[in-house]
Amino acid sequence: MNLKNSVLFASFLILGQLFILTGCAGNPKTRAANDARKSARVTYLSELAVPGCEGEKIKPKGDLKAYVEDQLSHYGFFVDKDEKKILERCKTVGAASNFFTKFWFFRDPDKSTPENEYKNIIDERIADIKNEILFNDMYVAGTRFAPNGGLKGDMAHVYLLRGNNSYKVKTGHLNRLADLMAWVYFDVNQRPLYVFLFYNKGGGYRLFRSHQTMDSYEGLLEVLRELSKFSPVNEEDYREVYNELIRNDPEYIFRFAINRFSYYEDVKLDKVLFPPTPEVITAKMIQPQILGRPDIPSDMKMVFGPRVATILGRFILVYDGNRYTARLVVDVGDIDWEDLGERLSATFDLSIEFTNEETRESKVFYSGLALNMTRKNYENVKGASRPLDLGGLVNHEEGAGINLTISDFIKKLTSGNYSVKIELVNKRTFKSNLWFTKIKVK
Amino acid sequence: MAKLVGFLMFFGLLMLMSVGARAQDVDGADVPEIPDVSGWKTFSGSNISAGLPNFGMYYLGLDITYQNPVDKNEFVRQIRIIVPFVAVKSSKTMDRNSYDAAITYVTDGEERDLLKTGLKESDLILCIRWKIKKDVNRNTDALDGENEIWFFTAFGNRIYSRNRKITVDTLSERPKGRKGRLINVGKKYSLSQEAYYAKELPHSIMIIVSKGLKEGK
Repeated sequence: MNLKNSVLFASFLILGQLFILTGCAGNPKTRAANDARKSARVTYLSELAVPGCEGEKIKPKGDLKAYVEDQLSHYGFFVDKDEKKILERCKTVGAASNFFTKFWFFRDPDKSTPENEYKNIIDERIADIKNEILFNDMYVAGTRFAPNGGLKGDMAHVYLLRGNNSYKVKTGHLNRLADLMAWVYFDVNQRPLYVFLFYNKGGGYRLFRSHQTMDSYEGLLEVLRELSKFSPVNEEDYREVYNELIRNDPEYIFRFAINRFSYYEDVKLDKVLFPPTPEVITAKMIQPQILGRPDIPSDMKMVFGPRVATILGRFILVYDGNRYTARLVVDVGDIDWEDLGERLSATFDLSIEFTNEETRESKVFYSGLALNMTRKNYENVKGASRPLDLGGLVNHEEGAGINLTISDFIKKLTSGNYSVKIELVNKRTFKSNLWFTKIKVK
Repeated sequence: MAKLVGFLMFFGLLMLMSVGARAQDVDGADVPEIPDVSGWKTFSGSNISAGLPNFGMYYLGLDITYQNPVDKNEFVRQIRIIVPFVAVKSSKTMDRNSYDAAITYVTDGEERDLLKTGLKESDLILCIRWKIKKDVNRNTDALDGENEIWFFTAFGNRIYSRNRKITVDTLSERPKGRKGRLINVGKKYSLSQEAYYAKELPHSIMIIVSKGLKEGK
């Protein structure tokens, strides 16, 4: 696991250098969505303000102070600024206790069960920290939370919010460079989603937060200054610190973690360490809606082609000197058919996108294709590819060119060279194919 | 060894076969048997998928590398294509900043099951076999001999080749009725201009995606 993950990491490190990531920055939210979110937030905070937690902020004393401090020492990283303001108004232990009951109620991902699965996980992580689970960890043996801030330290902050990760790496005790430790969290695609870098200059491990490239001279010096145990004063000092970094980073993980926090550009350290909201914690309970699944009624009989996801065949645009005609060359045995007894039937979506290679303007011809044949005919002709003339199909896509045949559609295109992308999709089974060709329109 | 394997895995499709040797394409009945990886260890695996910003994830297939348990220097990588599907998600679950903040004990059931099924119900379109050996001079690992490729084109041809470059292109589209940047909707694997296989989200699904994006879902 160690070796494998380090390999994955090294690979993605290099990938990260090579590609400009498109990320997932997202689209602007609509005003309505924003209003709804704000409104939900206001409602949530008002419900959190249980009786006894209204009015002015108070300075807790005695049992109340002990109770609040105990709760915050365990769960403080989960309480955000607004929630803390409400907690600071709680006047009795009972009121503060009710606050936390409500607080966890909103974070219960499955209210149909008696336990709060999310809180249970957090409590398990707290127990891990108290039991010094990393002390015997195969990657970072000897590491303890207690001397590094305990439940309130940076290490605990990460551990409480993200749990134990799949891969960690740690240097030994270094002379000039701070002792380094990185926790790597891979996503489902084995990409480094989060890479937390901790450094210890003698006072315990702290989280490295000032990610920046070491490509520039200034950037390099700044990083080395922050990660040095002693303030480097001349170029020789910097060089020695840098060499120590190189020597102790054979997997390139520390340099990756200095440069960036994640493989993905949209993932930011401060967001990742922000207290998770109730919406985030319970969001995964909403099962995703799946689009693109086969639409085959249980009582429908089918005759399937051999491929699972592909309609094998060839789409051809033929130019006879005057006009283009379209043909689909296909073996009927490679198509999925609805079995209607004596007859077989199949329906397809056909889309043909013409992109002018000069202007990049695209026009789409979109139509439906229905095939019918007798079972006897099917048995006779399957096993050999035959051309189907698609000259009778007309465009259903709204706009200019509606109801035109493929030939007439092409004739209406402005002259030029075109890249053509053809997509054929079986409407029942969603098996499909894509073909690419080029044509010249005079 | 592992470093080279990792390097090959992620750059494999781009550089595995480009060693400068001459192409040795074979098709039809002369294509050798595809390597049987039953009993082999799964060395790595990932989904061929991408995010549709603020909408969900789409999945096109699986990318799996197997290691021969008898000869650990031998690897086979398979690209398998499934019927594409989109998992439309709450924007909260799409935010990678809070990706694993939510507990996962009941999550993404259908999505997960579909991907599991994809291991069996998928079309193998690309298979690459290679071996590695120790490079004593550089104290690292090196490719041992030639790479072999089995490629299944969009037209149904089966091609066997050695030391050839497979190009992987991302297919992108601008959602209908929306200005702004293109979004990734598919992949195209090409051995040459004539020998390729591509898969993308169907037009009918893209209409739904475009509508969802327009309404801010």
